[in-house]
Amino acid sequence: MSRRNWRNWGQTPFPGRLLSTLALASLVATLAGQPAWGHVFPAVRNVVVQVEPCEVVLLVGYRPGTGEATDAILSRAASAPKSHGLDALRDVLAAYAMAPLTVTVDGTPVVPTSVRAKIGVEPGGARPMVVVLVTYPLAAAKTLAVGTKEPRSTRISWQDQRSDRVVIAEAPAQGKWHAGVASFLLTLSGPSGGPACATSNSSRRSLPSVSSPAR
Amino acid sequence: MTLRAALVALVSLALLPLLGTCGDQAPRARAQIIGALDEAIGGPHALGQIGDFLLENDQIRLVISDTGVSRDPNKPSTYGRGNTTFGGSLIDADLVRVGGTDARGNDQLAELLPGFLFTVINPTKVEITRRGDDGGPAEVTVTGTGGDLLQMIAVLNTGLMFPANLELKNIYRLYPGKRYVEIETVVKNKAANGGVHPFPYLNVMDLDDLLGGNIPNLPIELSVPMGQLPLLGGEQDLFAPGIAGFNVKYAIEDSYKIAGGFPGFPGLAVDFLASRGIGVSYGLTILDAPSNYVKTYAARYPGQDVTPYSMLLPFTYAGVAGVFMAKPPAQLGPNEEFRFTSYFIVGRGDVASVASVVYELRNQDTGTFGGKVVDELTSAPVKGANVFVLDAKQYPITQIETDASGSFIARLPPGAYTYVVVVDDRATPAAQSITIRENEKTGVQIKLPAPATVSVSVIDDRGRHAPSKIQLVGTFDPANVTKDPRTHLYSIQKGERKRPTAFDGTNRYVEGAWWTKDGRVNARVRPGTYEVIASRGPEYEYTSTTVTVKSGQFAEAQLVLTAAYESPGWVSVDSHLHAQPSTDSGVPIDQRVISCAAEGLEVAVATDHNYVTDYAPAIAASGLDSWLLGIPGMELTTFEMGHFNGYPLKIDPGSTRGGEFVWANQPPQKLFDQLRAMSIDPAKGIVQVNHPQQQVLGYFAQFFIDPATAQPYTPTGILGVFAPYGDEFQADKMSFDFDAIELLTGRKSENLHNYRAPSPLPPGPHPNPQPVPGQVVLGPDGRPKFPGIVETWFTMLDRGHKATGMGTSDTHALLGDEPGYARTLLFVGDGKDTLGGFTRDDVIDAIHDHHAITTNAPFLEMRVGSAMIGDTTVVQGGSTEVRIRVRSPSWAKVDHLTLYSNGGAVVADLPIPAAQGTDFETVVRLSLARDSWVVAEATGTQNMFPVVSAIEYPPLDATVIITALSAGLDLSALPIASNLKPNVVHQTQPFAITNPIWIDIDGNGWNPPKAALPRVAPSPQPRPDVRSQFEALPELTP
Repeated sequence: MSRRNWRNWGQTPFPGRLLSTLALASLVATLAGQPAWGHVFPAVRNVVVQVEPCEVVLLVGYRPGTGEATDAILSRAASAPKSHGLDALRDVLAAYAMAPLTVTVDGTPVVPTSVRAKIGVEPGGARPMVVVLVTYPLAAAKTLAVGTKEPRSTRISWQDQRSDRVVIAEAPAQGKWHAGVASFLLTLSGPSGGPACATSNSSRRSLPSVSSPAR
Repeated sequence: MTLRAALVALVSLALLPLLGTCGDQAPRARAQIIGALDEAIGGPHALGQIGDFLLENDQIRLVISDTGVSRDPNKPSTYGRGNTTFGGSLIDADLVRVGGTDARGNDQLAELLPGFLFTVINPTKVEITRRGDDGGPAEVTVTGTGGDLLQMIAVLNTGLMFPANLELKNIYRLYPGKRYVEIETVVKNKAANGGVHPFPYLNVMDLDDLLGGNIPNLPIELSVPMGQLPLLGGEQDLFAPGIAGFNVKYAIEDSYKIAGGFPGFPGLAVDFLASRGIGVSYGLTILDAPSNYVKTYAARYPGQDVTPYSMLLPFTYAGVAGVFMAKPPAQLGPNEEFRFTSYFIVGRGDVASVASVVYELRNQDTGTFGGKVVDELTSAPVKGANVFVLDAKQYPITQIETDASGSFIARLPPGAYTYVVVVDDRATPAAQSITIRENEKTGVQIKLPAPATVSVSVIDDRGRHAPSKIQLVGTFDPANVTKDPRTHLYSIQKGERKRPTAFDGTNRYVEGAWWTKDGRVNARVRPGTYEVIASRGPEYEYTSTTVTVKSGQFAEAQLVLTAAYESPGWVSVDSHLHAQPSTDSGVPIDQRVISCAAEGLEVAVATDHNYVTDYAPAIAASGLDSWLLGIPGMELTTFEMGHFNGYPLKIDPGSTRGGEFVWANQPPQKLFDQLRAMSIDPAKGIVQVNHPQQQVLGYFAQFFIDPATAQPYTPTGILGVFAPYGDEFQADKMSFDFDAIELLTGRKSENLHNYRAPSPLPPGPHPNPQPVPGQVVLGPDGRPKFPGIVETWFTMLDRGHKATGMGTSDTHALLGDEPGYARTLLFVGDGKDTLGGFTRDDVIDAIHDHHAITTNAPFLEMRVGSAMIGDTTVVQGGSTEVRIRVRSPSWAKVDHLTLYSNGGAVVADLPIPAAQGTDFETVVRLSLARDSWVVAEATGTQNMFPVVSAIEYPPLDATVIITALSAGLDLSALPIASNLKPNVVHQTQPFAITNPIWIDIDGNGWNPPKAALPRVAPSPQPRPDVRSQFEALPELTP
């Protein structure tokens, strides 16, 4: 039995509506001004690389740093029409999240087949954050590299999702965060997923731009 | 004036100077952060280091540890640097020594920390809140949130305490001129708008749900005791005035039997707590307060004396005591706080010096009782005599120790008392009456009967004055053989040493024992007739002679040891030894190394709790270089993940504990990695799993290792509720990356094999279905209820894991807990087992090569062809002979031999004829169908007394404490709560088990019969699909 369950046991869980309300309130507070305590927090970018038989998927979580970066993001979002505020914020945050990242296969940059993003507010409600899910095709190749121009704010981990594509013995440990690295290299082996991949890849080629999830 | 009155007046005058304070400096108090190690306190348990907080006045010095959380991102946090998980505790305490701050100090305190039931402070801040430079008190304040002292009983904290919104604070306040520190403890509800915080936190019905509906007789009222958790150190004997005296441990057990039930937790009600030690003692008390826990529930402590100052002692275990004194209000409103105050006292080594401060704190009227103790024959002063003052019930209320001049002095409340003087080597005279009057001095001169003197000289079979153990075995009145020896042979209540009995229906007992480096002893003893016994471990017979000595007389004996057997190439090793650096051992290192040599050990591995010790200097100073090799090591001691020895380790001279490491909240692999990193050669360092099946302290017990699979399982029911919850305890964190495992630890033979139902069965209740005698007793889940270490080890062997089986003593004391029982015989090479003929590397290599025999006496050899124990040999076709020979001294004859193979199958089960109990040889023919391992085991039923004594009293282990604290909850599923359980009270009987010989029948390498056990836990399960994770995220909507 997990102790954490006991700790929560007996308390009224936050209903989803209340959570949304609190999140919105926090977002408003965020938009309204600086954190009151004056601490400076750097940007944080967590990248999980998931290798699948036909594709590689990046799950990128991003929180801008306090100060100018957040100001810039918020001002760009605020300049959009009010009815599009959240969409604008999502697009800007996703752009910041992905900007320093490159994905290359055998040294050649690959283009995403889909990009989806969701925004939220960090615990404590001070900064906006975004989670971006990006998929790339993974053809037969020898290497897959994920690079970043901002290694200080980026940490990368990877995991294999039954792909049989990665030479595990040469790969960094799965599920571990690697911080401060400029590039992250995986040696590939074996063919791509065959006919199934072709179908899968073609079905996503029409989604190059950031999309919000269906509501 | 009579002569007696004149003498009394003279003695009183002479003692007057002793009543003053010990320092001659002006009263002052100050607090500072330790900036250099020489500002800290020295002593056997000193832990204070740079960055900790020093609180001192003109009388005492104290160190409070920092938070333990590193502010430097490049340095790890040091959780667990003390004895418990978190920082912010009082870790060192001593008197101000002559020489001022330059004196090295004599800290014997392990730790003192506040306990809110079993929640402790997880500090976020330790700070100086008053420096004392204004002439007032100095203060150090520790602020934090709640943390679990023990994860296993977190359910109690969760149900009763749950400090989600509580701020916990401990203020250590030291006034000038005082030998106590005032400890103000604050519990504050920080939830400004979060409503009230109830105590208990949950409704008892909710708690019952949490426990799976196991609380009977609902509804019941619960309570939340708060107080202090002192770890007073192994040198300190606990004392509580009244029925307990120095018998605190057993008095607590007795109190369970008369407990009045909830809401009062069971335990012993004490007026104050004190201790005695060499040169320093400690105490804990409170003042009269409305929140007094015991007073509030006085009706729940029938048969106990409840005073305005009563505190509750529900347990003392491994040096840790629970002292609960406060009951919080039923609830705390927002920003409301609850405070209670306790006082920690530093004494001069006896109880009386603590008690005098207690009386001072309470503004209690006192008179003075003093005097001098002299020998009645020579009139020489008697140093170290214990003067006990007894109340009307003849219970001790204080203990006063005489100094080098035989003098003693104490303050006592006015009243009529008796006093008695107890010295272990003299007969105890009858108690005398005294009357103490307010502000008056009462002086006495006490003449003690002279002791007798016995001089013994022992040589070995080569004529050498070799290290040896010398014991005096006496006999008591046969009419008392059925009685508890504590009632007629010695008084723990009055601080006498235990005298182990034969525990076999005879009236023999050990009056005294001396471990000598050269076979010589001159001992003062109580007059009587004794058998003088000389021994030197299992390779020697013991020899004896009888002496009769009268008071003031002298007797001598000369004895010659004779060899029982030769063990060429093998050396005797004890790789689990404790001495003074361990918080729960008071044995000085020099005595420890001499005791090892006297018990015939040739290698002693120092394994103090979380302290890297090297015996080499003490061995050299004792002149034992030719007899004993010391290997530096440590027992990495976690609170509830188990204990692990690492050796040989490097000594870090810059560390206050010989090396730096972190034990708290670490998964096993990290613990093992740290031990190897601390090793002199990380590639060869040994990691040894200690007492793996011991509840709470054993690695396998805590990870719920199934003996049939050697893999962790998830406990169900209430066992699951009481399982540790931390991530480090998850099944995939289990690691088998260790080199050695204790098969026999000390005299705990009951843990060797799966427990089988005895014949006849004891009185019920029994599990359903009821086991048949001889059957392994199973739990509700079908697994052995009390799994054996050997069976689990056999499964590991089946699965290809070759951890070397070891025997160790885990000794913390001397008499009744001797080093070398059990021990490991290691083969270091033909002709190398001579004085100075083998090296530390030979020892370590022998462990890695499994050339090892676990034994408490028998020498059990086994060969397959030319292959010896630990070897892998090729036997084409699988038909072979196993040659086994077992030799043993006549005081440890064997009578049974068993040969095991794959799956723990018994392939030979042979009775040994009585005439061959000291030397038996046999050949077992095997036809093996597949690669196999073979292990031989020899056992006997002879009582090994007096060389090795029995376990006469059940140890108070942690599970008993948990059970006691959970009284009222039905813990029948816990292994301890059944009549069908191993007998932990028994004689010590001969036992030996070999490591395997691995037999490869086809020459293609040895292949295990079962799926290989991964040495290191497999990689964690794949993380969840990131696509699913993304889909599960909530989306912010306008």
